[in-house]
Amino acid sequence: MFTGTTADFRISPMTLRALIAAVFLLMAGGAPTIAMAGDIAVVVRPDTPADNLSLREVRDLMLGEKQFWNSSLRVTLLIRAPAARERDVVLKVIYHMTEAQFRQYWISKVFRAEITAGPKIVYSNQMATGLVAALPGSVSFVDADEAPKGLKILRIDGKLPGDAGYPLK
Amino acid sequence: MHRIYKNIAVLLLMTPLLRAQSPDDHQLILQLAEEVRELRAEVSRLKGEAVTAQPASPTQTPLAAALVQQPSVPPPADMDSHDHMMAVPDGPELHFRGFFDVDFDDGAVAQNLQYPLGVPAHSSFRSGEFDLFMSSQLSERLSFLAETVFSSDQTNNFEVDLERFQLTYQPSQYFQVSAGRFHTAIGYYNTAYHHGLWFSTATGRPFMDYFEDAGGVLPVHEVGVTTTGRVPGSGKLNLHWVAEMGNGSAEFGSANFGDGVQNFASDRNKKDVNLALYARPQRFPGLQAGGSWLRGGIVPVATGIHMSQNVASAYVVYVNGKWEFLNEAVLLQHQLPDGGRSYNSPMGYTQFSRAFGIYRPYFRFQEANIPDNDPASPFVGRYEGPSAGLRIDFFTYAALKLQYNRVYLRNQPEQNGFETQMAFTF
Repeated sequence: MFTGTTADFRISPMTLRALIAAVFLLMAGGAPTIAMAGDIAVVVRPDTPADNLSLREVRDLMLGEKQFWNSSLRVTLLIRAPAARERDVVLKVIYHMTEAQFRQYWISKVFRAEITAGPKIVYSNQMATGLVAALPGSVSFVDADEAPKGLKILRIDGKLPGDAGYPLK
Repeated sequence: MHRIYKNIAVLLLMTPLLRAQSPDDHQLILQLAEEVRELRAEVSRLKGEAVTAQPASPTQTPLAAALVQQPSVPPPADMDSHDHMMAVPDGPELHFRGFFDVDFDDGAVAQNLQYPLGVPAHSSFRSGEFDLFMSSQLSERLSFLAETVFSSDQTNNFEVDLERFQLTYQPSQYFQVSAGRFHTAIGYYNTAYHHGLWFSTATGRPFMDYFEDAGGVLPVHEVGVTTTGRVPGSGKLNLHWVAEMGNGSAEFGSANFGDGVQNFASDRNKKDVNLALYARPQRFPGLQAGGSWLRGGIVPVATGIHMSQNVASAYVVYVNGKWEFLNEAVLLQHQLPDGGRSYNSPMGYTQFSRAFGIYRPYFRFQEANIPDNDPASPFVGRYEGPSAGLRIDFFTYAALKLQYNRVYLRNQPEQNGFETQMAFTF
């Protein structure tokens, strides 16, 4: 039997606010959001002839408008499979398309003979970085925290992941 | 007309039901489940590849090491999950995708494939074009595509057409050459839209872009060589050039060259030459403007006289996920030899649409005005009028289209048509 005063079980206003905030965060998917809040890095092999691209140039790459880095090096696009955050960010910030529009765009692009194949699908950041390391001219988008040191991270409009104003987040 | 209005009302009432019974979410879940299965299979296969290869460097992942060990081998499968694929070990992969449409037409200018129809028009359920599109990457710079279409016409018999086949070599972004049968780079629509009607907003092509064997007046197909590329130094203007040479077309229905597109035998040595230039300014994504000029010939069946054929075009289009604004104008000229009489036929269309979620209402106005005495045109007279419709993308890969057409013809009463089309890719 409890003999202490109810004050022993009283929750302080500060604690109550923290609990309410925690509940709201959980309800809104807050905990995962904190874990997924990293910037998305554009990674290429170190020998790729590019260091800094404008967001418009990145868009040209991803739309298949620019298919070569230079006169001989072909661009190979590697994009995460659906449901990955990297893909969501790329579709929203670069393509300005929904998932359905993205799929229709590439079917149409191949059908018009403007490109021979759509982007290659990768199923993890490890797979993406592994293929980028192996395939000359390939480019992919990975969580900046998972970008290995052996790859080059491209600046976008002069900014690297973590910089203020970096667009891919 | 009352019957047409009744059909429109019934179909509009059915639309929300279709939406309710077939929610996008359910389809998305099914797609994702299918993709998860594909992913598992792919991961298992990749793990197998990685195990069989020796690591090239301790700093590389097993997968990267496996690829570095085999630099001549293309990336591990084509992981594009957007289409179907067949492959044999160490051979090129064949990707294929299908397109089809089923329709219900009511009225003389309802169906979108042929004009004039040649038989009295009755309301009719109709199969559209069963289109099998194939593509294959033979090497990093060599690829092939083909488009085979099964379709019926006013005889109700199905026939097979190999509508496109192109072997393409692309050594750089500035130069690409394809040999085969292709869509001529006249204007915008003819190369932006081919035979799969799922792509197009409206139920069919503008009249001026009808195919040669369907009453079309322009040489929209060529068998020959087409080259294209980006113009070096064009910078943010993003200029592209096109240069093509092909057999040209014969008048549809001629005894020896019945298809219209001269594929095996040609009725002349002189080939069609087409040049085009277009810009896709980086500053305005979705905007494209350009023009083309074709110089060729045609031999009318009735006279057998070799006439010259010139086609000039200009266009401005703006297309993005929400807006579509297409504007094209073409001048077709047939001229008798030795500076003889010429027959000028202006034609064009404008099309506007905007997406509201899955709904996309659209409007098109088109006109073709061909001299009555042009001996080389399969259609003469005026063909003009509006079309208004609604496209509903109730699935990612299927769309329902409802379209009303009103067409004014020279010296004939105006005609109406109502089309219902379910177009999809599979």
